[in-house]
Amino acid sequence: MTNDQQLGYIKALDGSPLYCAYHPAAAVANPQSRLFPVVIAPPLFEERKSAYAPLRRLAVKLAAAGHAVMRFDYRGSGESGGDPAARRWEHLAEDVASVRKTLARLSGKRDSVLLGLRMGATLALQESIRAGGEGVVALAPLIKGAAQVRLWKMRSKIRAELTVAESGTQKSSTPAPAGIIDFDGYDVHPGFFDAIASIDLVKDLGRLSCPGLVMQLSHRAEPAPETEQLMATLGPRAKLECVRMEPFWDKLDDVDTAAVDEAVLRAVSSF
Amino acid sequence: MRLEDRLKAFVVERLFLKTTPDAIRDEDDLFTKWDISSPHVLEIVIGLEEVFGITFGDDEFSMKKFRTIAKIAEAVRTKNPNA
Repeated sequence: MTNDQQLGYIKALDGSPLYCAYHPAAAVANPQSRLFPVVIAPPLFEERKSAYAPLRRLAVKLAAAGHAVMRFDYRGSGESGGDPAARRWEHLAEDVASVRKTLARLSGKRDSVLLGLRMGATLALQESIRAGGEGVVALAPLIKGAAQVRLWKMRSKIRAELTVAESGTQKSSTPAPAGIIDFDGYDVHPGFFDAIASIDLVKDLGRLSCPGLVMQLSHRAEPAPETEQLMATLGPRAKLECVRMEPFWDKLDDVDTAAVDEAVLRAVSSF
Repeated sequence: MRLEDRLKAFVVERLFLKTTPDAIRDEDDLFTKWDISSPHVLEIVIGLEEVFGITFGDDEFSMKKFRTIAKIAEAVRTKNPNA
């Protein structure tokens, strides 16, 4: 346990230990305000590592503003147990549901806001449409899964080229088991990538029944065409903010994410 | 404007480089001189596809093609001679 968070494990549906960090809500001056608890759904792979510090900072700010927050690692990732090579897309949704249930028990509030980054944002939108909730915040969601899988594969190829260029040899890590993809050193079931490649939020989703905030975080100050299409799909309850900033989930250096934190705090307190 | 100069402005804006387009030379190694990394290369590829209406096949993708402004210009001209 640290000063601002309680660490522990809960059980995933398959029995895997899910690592969770609970940030209790601070007492706030205005007890009348609607202070919903927040589940933070992280990205995966290398993006999870780069996003760790910014998402932790965001959790601390939300808790200070009176929102109980739960961060976690999906099964087979980070500090959680489970076999990454056995993970499927539907397991991520199950993990979110398990964390939501635990957060409801700890916070004493029935439902929560889902907040996700990248793949976590895609999941948060899907789950909010499917299961409802008090609100949803989607930070830089993956809108077209096929495009993202293509980028991941290209990135993996670049990394392999860089590794060879720097060391003169291929990396010597243990090869992935038969039938499993070695993606930047992460074991991934082909079915997991297939599921992501089939995602098209513009076509898959419907209208949001809860309030939502979608944040486009990129070099653009104006919405990209696919972002506009997503907003049209989500309907009037979803608001869009475009912030021109470096993709902090791709950076090894710490990036100033104060603009994102402020927008999220504004949105969550208005839900 | 020369394609190379457009590409320098594109790279500075898209990658949030802390320099000006004029400071980049056509033959500069973007990795060593301007500290770009693998996610940056992806950003360049996506941007080139958007801006120039071209597509890079997975099998023809290589980091060498994006190492310098001159190389990027060559890759773009191969795909779109009118760029």
